[in-house]
Amino acid sequence: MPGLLDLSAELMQEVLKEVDPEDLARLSSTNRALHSFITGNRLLWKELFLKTYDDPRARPNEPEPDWHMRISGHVLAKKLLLCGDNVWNHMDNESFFAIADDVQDLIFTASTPFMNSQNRKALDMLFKETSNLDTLMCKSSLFDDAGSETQFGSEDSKVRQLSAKLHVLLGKSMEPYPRLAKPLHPYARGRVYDLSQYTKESYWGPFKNDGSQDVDWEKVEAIMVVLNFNFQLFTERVHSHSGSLFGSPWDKEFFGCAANSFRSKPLLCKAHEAAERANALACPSNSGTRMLEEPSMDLNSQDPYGVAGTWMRIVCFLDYHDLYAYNFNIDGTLIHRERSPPLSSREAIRLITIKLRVSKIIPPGAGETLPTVEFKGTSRSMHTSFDPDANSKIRGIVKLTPQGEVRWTSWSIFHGEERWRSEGVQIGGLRSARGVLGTWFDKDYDDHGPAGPTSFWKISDEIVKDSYRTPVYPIV
Amino acid sequence: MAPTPMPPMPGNDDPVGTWSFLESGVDRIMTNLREGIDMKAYMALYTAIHNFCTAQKIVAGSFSAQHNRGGAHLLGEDLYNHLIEYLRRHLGGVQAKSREHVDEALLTFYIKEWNRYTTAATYNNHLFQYLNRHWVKREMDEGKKNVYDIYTLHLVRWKMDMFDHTHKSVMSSVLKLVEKQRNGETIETSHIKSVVDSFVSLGLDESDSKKTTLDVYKQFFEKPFLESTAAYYKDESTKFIQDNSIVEYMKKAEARLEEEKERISLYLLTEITTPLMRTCETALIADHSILLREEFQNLLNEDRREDLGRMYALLARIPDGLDPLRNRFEAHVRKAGLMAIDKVAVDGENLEPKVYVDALLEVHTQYQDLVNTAFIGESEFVRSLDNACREFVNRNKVCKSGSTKSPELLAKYTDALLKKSSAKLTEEDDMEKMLSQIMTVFKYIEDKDVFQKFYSRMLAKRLVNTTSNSDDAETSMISKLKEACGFEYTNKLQRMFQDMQISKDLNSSFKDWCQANLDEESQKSAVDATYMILGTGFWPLNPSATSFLPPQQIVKTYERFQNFYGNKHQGRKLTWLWQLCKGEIRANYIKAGKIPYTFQVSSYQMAILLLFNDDDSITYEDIEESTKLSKETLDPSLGVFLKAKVLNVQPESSKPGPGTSYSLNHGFKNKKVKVNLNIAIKSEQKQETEDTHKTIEEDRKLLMQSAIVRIMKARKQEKHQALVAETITQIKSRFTPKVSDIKKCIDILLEKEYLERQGGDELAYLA
Amino acid sequence: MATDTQTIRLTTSDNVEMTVERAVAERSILIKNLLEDLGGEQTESIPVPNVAEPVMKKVIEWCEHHKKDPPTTQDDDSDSRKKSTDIDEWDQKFMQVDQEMLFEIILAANYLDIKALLDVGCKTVANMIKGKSPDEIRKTFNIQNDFTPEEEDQIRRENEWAEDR
Repeated sequence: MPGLLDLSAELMQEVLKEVDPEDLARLSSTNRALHSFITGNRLLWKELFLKTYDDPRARPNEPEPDWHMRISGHVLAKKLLLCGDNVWNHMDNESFFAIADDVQDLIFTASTPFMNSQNRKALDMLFKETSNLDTLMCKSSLFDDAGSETQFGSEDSKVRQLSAKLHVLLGKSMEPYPRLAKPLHPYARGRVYDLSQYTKESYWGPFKNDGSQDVDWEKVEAIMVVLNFNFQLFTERVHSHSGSLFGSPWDKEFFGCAANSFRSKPLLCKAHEAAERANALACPSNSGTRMLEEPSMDLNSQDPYGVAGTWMRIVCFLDYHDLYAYNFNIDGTLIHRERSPPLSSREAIRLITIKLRVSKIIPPGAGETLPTVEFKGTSRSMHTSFDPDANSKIRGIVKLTPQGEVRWTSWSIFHGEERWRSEGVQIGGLRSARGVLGTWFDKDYDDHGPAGPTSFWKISDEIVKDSYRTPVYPIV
Repeated sequence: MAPTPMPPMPGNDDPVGTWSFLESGVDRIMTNLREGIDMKAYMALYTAIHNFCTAQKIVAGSFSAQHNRGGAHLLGEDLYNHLIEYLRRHLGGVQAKSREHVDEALLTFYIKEWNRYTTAATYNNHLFQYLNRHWVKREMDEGKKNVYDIYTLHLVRWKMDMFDHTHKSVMSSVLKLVEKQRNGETIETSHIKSVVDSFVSLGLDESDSKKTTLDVYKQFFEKPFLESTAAYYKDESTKFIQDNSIVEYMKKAEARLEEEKERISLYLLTEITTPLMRTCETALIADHSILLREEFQNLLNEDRREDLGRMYALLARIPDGLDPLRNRFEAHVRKAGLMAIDKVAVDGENLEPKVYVDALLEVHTQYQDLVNTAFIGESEFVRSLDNACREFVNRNKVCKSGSTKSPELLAKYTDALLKKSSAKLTEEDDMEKMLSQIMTVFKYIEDKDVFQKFYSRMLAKRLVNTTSNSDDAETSMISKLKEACGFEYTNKLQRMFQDMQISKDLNSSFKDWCQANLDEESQKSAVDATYMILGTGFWPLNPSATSFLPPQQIVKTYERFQNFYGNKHQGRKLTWLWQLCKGEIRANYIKAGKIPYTFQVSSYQMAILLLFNDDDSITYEDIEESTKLSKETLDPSLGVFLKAKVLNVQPESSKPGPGTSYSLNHGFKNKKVKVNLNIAIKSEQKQETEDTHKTIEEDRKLLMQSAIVRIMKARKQEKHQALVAETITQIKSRFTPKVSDIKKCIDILLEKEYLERQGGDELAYLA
Repeated sequence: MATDTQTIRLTTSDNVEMTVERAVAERSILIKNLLEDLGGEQTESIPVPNVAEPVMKKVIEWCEHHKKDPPTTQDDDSDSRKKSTDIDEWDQKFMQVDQEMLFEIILAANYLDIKALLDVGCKTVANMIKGKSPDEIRKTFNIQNDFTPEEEDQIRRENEWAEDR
């Protein structure tokens, strides 16, 4: 009489592929033969892993991870988060770090397109319960000041940083329901426009104030909250009279944080649609034939950051009077504060399209793994073509920090002169779809500002040629 | 005939017995499939493999983690290895037999064996399906190299044990066959097609056994095929070109290229298209391109368009094939242009603008036509044509003194065309065509500002003198210029038109005003006059250099208008351009006919003649005193009267000047009743042309200075060299500035303290 | 004559001859390949030496029901991955058989190369394991506990991640 133990090895494998990981663990503790068949059965654990999660390897020919260990890690984190009888806001730090690591792992190894990603489903399941979001993503110092009664910052600076990072990876601001609590954005805005935070040691960017180029995720978090708030306000305003608008990569949770998650969109095939959308913002008309630029294959092939192409950028700024009043004493000295107070002034927002081209590749120096890439380009405001400051040139460099984050530095050039500089860090690393968050400021680091938050993300590898016709007469 | 029965089934755990059972079946399929294999045998073979593989249970495993290599070991490797051994032996035999054949017989043998072998492979693949599904799949999942599904294994063995030893002789047979066909014989092409297909089947993708690559085909078929093609055509073309003309050779090459393209669809893979064409093009075109190009000049000289087109089509196929042609073409067109101008330049100062423009156009038309027919309007050739035309339009014998001559002549030609005098000659659509031709030349003109200046002066004259042929033609020309150069270029021209319209309205409202406000007496004594109000900024007109006292007879009339206008537009100042005014006076003193003569005269002439209402004879000095005209204006005006015999001079036949005196010629006679005495004077026209050129120089200086200031205002600081370069790019659409002129302008600005020198050659802007 | 009603004959291991519609029998890739290779018009009965009549009946019942399913190929197992619980209702009912028959069906499906039926069989077994403690599993499948107490301890530690806390 045939039974379970009478199956041949290949049939046993077929059966066990259908068994859930937890059940498989219990099955392996019933009997020596089964234990021996299951434990260390790499193909079996691989198959089970790929049934629920995305392949963490960028390419199938990379060395395989320990599937059994990964699966047990994910199961453990799931159990910690989904078993409802803990008081989450008091989760011990050890569990917090374990879960945070596991969640980052799911985010960073999600497959592209993200819509079809299995990790996305796993993440959705983990965070269906919003208290889990409070527990993991609302532990930075921002939540000391703001947030609901179930959100509050941690004492531990590592927890604060990690939580802020998870919040940034989530992409959506954890603004509490208005009636329950204090909104985040005034406090985030205070942090972003506090000029005393712009220091030489932080390179005036979203880095820690110690010269290490280590990303300060609490700064990045504040930038994200401010930009999200402003962008949403902006789209609501524009939406009301011109229909739907392009989205930002920030409105889909956990989207685009894996390396290589960027996917290029063709710029011309839907020219009508694109033109219609652009017109909603009074984009300078692109009548006439729109032609794509021939990409420079030689330089682009050596560029690991995927610079060349068309990007979208948001820049926000505060009226200078508001900025000055917030930052300076009556005698003109800069105010240094323990903690930036909330700032409720409304900001201006600019949407810009940038066309970037690689201009130079500098091979990696000692201790560096990737080259430094220099780029040049043009940026064009999508709001109006009359503003003389709307269009400018841009140059910049992108390289890895010692900690392996992708750091973007750029300069805006008006009429041949550099005016603004910007520092940012790419969320999710190399060629992520999420793009870059950072700051902009005077290129000479003027202590009196101005400065503000900025973000840019790639739209397409293609570049539409400027339909620029040399005027017959220069304007006298 | 019934197949021989299979031996009895082996036991499940007996590898030796199982294989010997399987071998007899595999061998039957391989060598004797036609005799057939029955169901029993088929099922027995499949089942034997199944039973062998499933014999081992997992219970046999042990608990020790050390012995554990990830799940259990699957059975099947023995069978797989035995099969390899069998195939190797079998193919060794086939390969040995193949050596008995050559040429077409070898191809027949190879294809027959290939078909038999691949059919058997399909069977074996099904019979070994259980091995494929489990053992083979597991090995692949584990990342083992060199394990294939059973069908692929057959291909791999064929490649190693058969193909690797025979492909050379097979290919040489194929190539011999192809050569025969190229030499004009008829061949059986299906063999070659089968060989291609079999080579393609052997290309396996190492990373994914389910896919095929073209690697084997490329290396063992395509490469030798291309090599033999190259050799064949190298040989043939070298011989042919020695015995035939270049044109004949081009026809041959064309035919060969066409032939090879057809060959692809007959029995090759479409993937070979690009490399095969490249190979043929190298041997047939690139290797002889120097000879071909040498013929180009001859074909151009003889205007053999069909052959030029042929050469274009051939050389267009090879990289950089056309560049030398374009250079030669450009030089040829330039030379043709210069020669045509040389021919008309013999007229010197008297060169008719029309003759000049026609000469330019004729050359352009001829070669544009050539570009369109022979070079299919290719944009690079169009550019060469443009370069050549720009060159001979701006720099030729007529333009010796400078490139401003071409725009001047073109503007004069345009003027002639748009004037009333030519009205009968041009039908309306012809006019449109001729204006387009003007624009063709205009496109090449570098000094577009010169054209603009002349054009606007002549337009002003046409409007003031109402000598314009048609408003439609004028508007059409202006819109063409606007299209080519933009709004600013034609802004003033359009304003001139507007002024004409406004003046018309003004005159009629003035007439209404007169009727309403003047008593009968005044109305009667008023001179019937028409006024044109021309905006100072738009019209290229200046008050005359001479002083002038208008005759009493018209003073009241024009002052009345002046008052009327002053009331209507307060604060505006009217300046009378007397040199442009004209009028008609009736010579009642001549009693010759019933109808008195009417003289059409300038305002100056009118002032002179009216003096004779009071005196019969007047001295030169009195005329000068009464009219206040300068000698330069007075003398030619009197000259016209003398020449027309309206006035007599004392002493007789002296030239106008102090000491002479004048009286009316009462015996004046003329065939016409209306006599036009308002004749422009040659020397005046010449003066005007010179003036125009002078103002152009002034305008250019201002333009350069304002460009420099604008650049410096934006940059604040700039190196001298860079500033000069930037200035040139900013104004070159209007004219091509000389570097020395720009430097002069910079010096002027330094003097005026708009700029200052910094260290080195750095300049700075002073706000 | 309509080809879709063409029948073939099978002879089971216990020498019972069965007549089956060809389209039904071809759910088995083995039979399908055989008919393809040996030519369509077979008058002979196909011997199936590894499957006895009661099991074959069950298998044919399943094939009848799934006659019109799209054919499965070897490549698409990545898409057909589903949770163990995803067995459709008819199949669940079909699989309500004693354990011996269940494993017989699995063996036959494997032999005859009927992938979908094999999957249903495996999922049914997986569902029998789901949520059970080691002891319950042993009882269900009649498995002997042959661990020493030390080994059992070691294994408990290994599998701690899977336990509810």
